[in-house]
Amino acid sequence: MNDPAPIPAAKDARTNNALRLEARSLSCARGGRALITGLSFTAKAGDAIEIRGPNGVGKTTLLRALAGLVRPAAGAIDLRLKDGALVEARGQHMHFAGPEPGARPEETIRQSLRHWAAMWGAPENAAEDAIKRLGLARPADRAVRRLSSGERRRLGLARLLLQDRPVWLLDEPNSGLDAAGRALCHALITERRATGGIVIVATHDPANLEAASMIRLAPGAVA
Amino acid sequence: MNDTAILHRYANPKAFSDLAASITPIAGIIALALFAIGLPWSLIIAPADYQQGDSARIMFVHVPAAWMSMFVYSCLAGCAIATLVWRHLLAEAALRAAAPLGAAFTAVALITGSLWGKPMWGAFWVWDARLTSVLVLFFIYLGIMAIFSALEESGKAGRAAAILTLVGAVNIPIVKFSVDWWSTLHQGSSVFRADGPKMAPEFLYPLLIMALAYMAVFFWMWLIRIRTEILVRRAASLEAAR
Amino acid sequence: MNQTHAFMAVVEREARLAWAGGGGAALPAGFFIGIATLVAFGLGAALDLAPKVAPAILWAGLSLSVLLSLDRLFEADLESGAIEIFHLSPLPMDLMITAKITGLSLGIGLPLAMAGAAAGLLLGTPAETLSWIAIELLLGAIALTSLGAIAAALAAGLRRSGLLVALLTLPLFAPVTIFGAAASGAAHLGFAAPGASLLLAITILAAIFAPKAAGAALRLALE
Repeated sequence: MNDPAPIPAAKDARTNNALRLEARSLSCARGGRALITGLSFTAKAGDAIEIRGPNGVGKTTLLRALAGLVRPAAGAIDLRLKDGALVEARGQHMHFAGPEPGARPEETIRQSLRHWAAMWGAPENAAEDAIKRLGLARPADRAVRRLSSGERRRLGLARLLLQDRPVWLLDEPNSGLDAAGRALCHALITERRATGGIVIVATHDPANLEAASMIRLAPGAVA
Repeated sequence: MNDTAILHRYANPKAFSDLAASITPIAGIIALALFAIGLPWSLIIAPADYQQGDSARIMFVHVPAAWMSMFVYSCLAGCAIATLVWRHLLAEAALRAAAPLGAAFTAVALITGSLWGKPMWGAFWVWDARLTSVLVLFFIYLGIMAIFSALEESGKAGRAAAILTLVGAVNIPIVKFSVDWWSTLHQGSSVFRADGPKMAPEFLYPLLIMALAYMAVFFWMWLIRIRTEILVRRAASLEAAR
Repeated sequence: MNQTHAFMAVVEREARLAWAGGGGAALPAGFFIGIATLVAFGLGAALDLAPKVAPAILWAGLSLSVLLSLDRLFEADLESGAIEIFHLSPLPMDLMITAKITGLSLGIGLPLAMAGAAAGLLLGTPAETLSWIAIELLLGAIALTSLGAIAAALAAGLRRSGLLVALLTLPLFAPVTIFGAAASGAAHLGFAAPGASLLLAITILAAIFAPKAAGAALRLALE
């Protein structure tokens, strides 16, 4: 009986890693309705944050605001990389994976991943490695419209592996995944944290992340 | 109180609404008075054109409408900039309120122009640069109105309409200078020229009175519509908060 | 420079999808020829009029064909979340849109120019002017796609946006159609034809400035 290789302690990943994602007095609105008011938090290298709350409460909006896809109604969001430098366009240092596949219905898994790899200047084999890691080798040349929801979700996760970015924003990453898929997702998240990244997960389902801080959103308020 | 403070004070929808409430009737009265002077002056008192006779009197209805179609668009462009730069709700309301008015003035210009064209050129419509560019202006107005109606619930209508307004603003200098840049059937500018108007005073003065009358009517209707828009939004937000 | 790679990746994907996916380039080209054929049928006994009206038919046909293809620019990518991922890439929104327009123009512009030349032949246009006409149609396709991108971006994300896009493109397409038809009508004069230089000018201006307006509208659609 061999012990599995120990996951490096989060503390090791944090030494000399000044990565910080900070939100100050964040307020987000959608369609004119205020969803989140006055939210503040700080995430450091190796941290995980779970955003919990019922459907429609603003979890996705919060993730999109963190990614810079929408401007928050009030407040500020700062990202400092591991050398401490404050970044202007933080979107390029973040991966966002939502329920959508990020590819057109007629594109195949392989085509989509190769496209993103080319676009981000990832190495030649990054797409193939991601396909293998996510167990997508068999459906790799199938068009997105013919994939199961689990395979689509894996496609989104595969994208995360194409380029090393310190912050991951995941919207309901487990939905549609079978047990093996959830385990894989969990492993990927743990790896990202161990190598000094930050993972923020929005879910209405317990995600069972170790030592994760929690942001609970309730209609009309934040706790 | 310095200028920016005044601007900000009346940029508040409630303050504007109250100010508009007092100005609107004045604008209405001025419009009425100007029309009372302008219409008889242009239609009866001013001499008939020596070539076209009385049919040329349609100029006094057509020309100010055409001027207004461009003036209103300039107002729209100003509101559009304010909407995009400062995200001001009052600017959005003003944009939404003015668009149909601009479309109406353009339609009046096109229709009266057609009615004038038949006796003057023998045709209701020709595809020269001036007429075509004004028709394009009309479609741009319609497009702005269509955006407001299609993007209503998303809350983004104002900013989307502002973008289209600024894109379409390219057309305005084309309308203005079309008679100079291309040889058109439509006559050249007689009033807004670099070396002053070349129209005889017995036509120029009633024309200017009519132009002022149109302007007053526009402001009167615009103020009413903006106030209505503000009230509608306030009612909607009270509804939503319930 | 990584922006150049990203730009080329977007162009390649757009061109590939336009050429191969969802009906491909055959659809707009076939549509274009179909219109010309219908007009020829409609003229019936008055077929000798055909060469005179050919420029008008070609340019109206081009406008309609481009209009039909516009929804490929943003709709599918917005729905699939690809636009959001583009936003998290090193390529600024305006350049991303320029790349998409370039790709779409390559994918359908060339086939449309060829189809237009063929349609011109059907309608009795003198054969020696066909190469000029094809060039002008290609320029026109680029201009129309650029201007149409503004309308497509403004209406992006709306259900049943077809009518709105058609209405918005009307004033935008008018100058291109006017200049193009004038140039094609005097195609034997080549570049000296009235309207030819205006067509070139509007193509260049549209290619430079339309992506900026479309970018502003697309950012709005992301909210």
